[in-house]
Amino acid sequence: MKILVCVKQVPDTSEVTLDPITNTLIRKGIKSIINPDDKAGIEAALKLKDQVEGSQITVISMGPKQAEIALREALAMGCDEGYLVSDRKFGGSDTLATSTILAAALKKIGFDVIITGRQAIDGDTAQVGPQIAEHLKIPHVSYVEEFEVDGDALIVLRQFEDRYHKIRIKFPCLLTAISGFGEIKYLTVAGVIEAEKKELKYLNYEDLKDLLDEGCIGLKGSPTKVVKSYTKEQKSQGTLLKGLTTNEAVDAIMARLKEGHIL
Amino acid sequence: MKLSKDIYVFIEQRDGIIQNVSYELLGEANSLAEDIGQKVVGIILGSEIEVMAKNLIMYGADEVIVVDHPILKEYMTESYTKAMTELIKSNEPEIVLFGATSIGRDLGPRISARIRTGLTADCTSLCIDPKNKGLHMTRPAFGGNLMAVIKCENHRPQMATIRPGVMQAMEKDENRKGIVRNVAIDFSNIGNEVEILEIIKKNKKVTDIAKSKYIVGGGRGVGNTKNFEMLNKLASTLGGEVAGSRAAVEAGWIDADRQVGQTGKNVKPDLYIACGISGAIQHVAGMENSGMIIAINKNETAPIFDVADLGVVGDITTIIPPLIEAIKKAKAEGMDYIAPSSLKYMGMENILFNKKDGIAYLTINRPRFLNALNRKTLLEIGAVVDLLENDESTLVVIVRGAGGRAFVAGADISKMQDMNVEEGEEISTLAQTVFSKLKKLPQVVIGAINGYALGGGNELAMACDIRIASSRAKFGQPEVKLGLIPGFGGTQRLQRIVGQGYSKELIFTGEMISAEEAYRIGLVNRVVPPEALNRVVNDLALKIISNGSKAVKLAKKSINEGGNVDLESGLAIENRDWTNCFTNEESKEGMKAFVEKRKANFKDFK
Repeated sequence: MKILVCVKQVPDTSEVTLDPITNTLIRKGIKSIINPDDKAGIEAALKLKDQVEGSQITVISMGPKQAEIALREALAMGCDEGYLVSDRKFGGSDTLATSTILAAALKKIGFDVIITGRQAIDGDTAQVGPQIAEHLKIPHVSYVEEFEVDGDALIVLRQFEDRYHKIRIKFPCLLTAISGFGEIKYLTVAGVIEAEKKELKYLNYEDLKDLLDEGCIGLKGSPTKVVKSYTKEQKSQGTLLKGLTTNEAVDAIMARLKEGHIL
Repeated sequence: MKLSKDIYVFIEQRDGIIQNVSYELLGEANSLAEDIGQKVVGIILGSEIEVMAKNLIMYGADEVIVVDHPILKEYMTESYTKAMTELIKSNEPEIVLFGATSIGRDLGPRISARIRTGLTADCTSLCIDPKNKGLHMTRPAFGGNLMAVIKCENHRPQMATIRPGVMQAMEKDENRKGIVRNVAIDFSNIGNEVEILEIIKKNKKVTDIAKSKYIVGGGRGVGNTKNFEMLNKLASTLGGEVAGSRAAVEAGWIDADRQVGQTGKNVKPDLYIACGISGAIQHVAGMENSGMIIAINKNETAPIFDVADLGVVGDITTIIPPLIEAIKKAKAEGMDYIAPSSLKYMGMENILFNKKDGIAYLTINRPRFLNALNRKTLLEIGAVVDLLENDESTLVVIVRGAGGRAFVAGADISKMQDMNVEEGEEISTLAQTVFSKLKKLPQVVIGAINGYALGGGNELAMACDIRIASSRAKFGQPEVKLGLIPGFGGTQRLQRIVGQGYSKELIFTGEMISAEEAYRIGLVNRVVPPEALNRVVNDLALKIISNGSKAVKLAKKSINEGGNVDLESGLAIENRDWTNCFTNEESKEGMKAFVEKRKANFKDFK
């Protein structure tokens, strides 16, 4: 079985901070990681490979050359081969353009099942997975928590806020995985060395142009555009009281509750 | 191409229950519709769901499209995508909105790819660009560190998923009219590639903390289950719910459905009390829009204090138990006016207050809003007035407006337009109470009017004993232009100052008058050049202060009380207060100095 896993390299947003003076994002020194939901996707792929003999996992990422690091890590985790989809023409793509390009690349490589993470922590859109499935005209299930192979299909557990659906979905299909896919496998030294030996493969616009409409990729092919971005306005400074006795603290809180008409 | 420009709202129902986010989106769609002048259409998909259409109209849908089919009973990507896509293609709406739920975030992308249009995820605000009527969609990125405004100029419809809990649903209106349209969709070509084998409901009782007006949130600093029980008690005393950060959920102190933050729920209660929460950006993103945030934390550098209206550095285990008792007591006894003793904790935002050499300066300080009076400002003025009542060291109070353009341009109408009858009555009662207290202060109150004194501003000025105007000042009671009447004392005080004729002209026309005209009709005592205003008012204050303070206060009392009674009674009041003067040493010094032809020294008698 041919398993394709899509991963995105993202800044570790839990470490992103604001410069208190300029009120801008400090990105310097923030390490890049494999997006956590995508890591869950890799775990899911490894689990699927264990269940279906003779499977091969191909990991694919779209991004600048720097994303090779994420692919190498995925190989070290146990993926068999890695593709970097990269071209200047792909820059500035929104989710729709990105999914269009990735769908072309996935089609070119060939697949039985595609696994993506539910969403990336930098954009949090959760769109690219379902959009890829639509471009490839295959069914998908998102928010997948568990699965098992059942003949020509997968039986997956799809999470909602208030329920689960146990769904049977036939191959070929796409799943978007949520963090929490069993144990994260830690890298072994042997795995890392093995991964270093593997050659990464590359796909650029020339490789994919038969499958792509130039008007549907990059900044030009993106329906959505960023008008502006800003860091959130700092709230006007509240009052900070310290060194109060318990009674004073209670008085202070009660004053606010009265003032705010809460009592 | 037909351009219907309607706003479509995907209505999410589960087991025949319309999800809150759908009502919120109908509310938001209505405000967008005002700007692009089109109708709001709710799309509801399901099985045997037509009865729900009526409800959607009551909450703001002008039209409801119902697709009723057994295949739509439970959400499935393909059947829902097919139905929505066909409706969008045949009607060409301008905008389509989805809740950013696990359904909307699955359905939206699939539709956007099928139609090839843009979709903006997890928006927290929407607005219409006045220039080209395009939709501007604001969403957080980088874990809430960055906000981005997104547009979708050349593709239609413009689509967005909206986070639950951020938009405002409309009040239910049972008389609202709308039409219901049933549309049949052919699902016969949907294959069996995907089938639901089983539906497993999460069986625990789900509390939607987002609905609570008061939330007590706990974080890692709470320490243990027992302490969390205390937060629970605080929440239930307030009549609210307990919630927590991710750390609290991971520690097993509360259930995951009570998690607030980027990966949990977005909440905006009237009150959020953050206990032992450090304030990671992911948590703050989910609660920072709360009406009031009070944070208690041992660590004074905790980032939660940056978003808190009130931060208390301290230990929750010692503060919360007496706080619970205090709240219980307050609830049992009923709350009145803010006690002056609490003033120092109030964190005055809208007024400045300082005192020097017997003169107190009360400055209305909202220059960005032309010092308009909102509830909080009135409360703050009231608190200061309470404080002054027993302040022996002050003889003159100067009331002025910050910023040079306005004294007070009126009441804060933006805050008033949504008020109901009770709230309308309450704000008038509050303002009248505060202004009457100001008028009755033992001290002399001088209004230094530097700019607009309109509506509530003129009413505040009239509650002063003496009004000095800059030549730039403008006066008026424009309420009738808004379909209101003066409610902070205007219909009563104005006629007592300028007589009924001028009073009626001003109030009936709602027109502004110049400082000169105000002077001519006796509304102000003097008009001075703008740059001289502060000096003139100060000189006036100093002249008053140089006199016997007890006599000045008694004179004010006598004039004030006499103003409301007939002459005979007024003379009796004067007689009482005159007599009163002889009971104090101040009058003795004053008369003695006069006889001795020297300046009286009243300082000792203040």
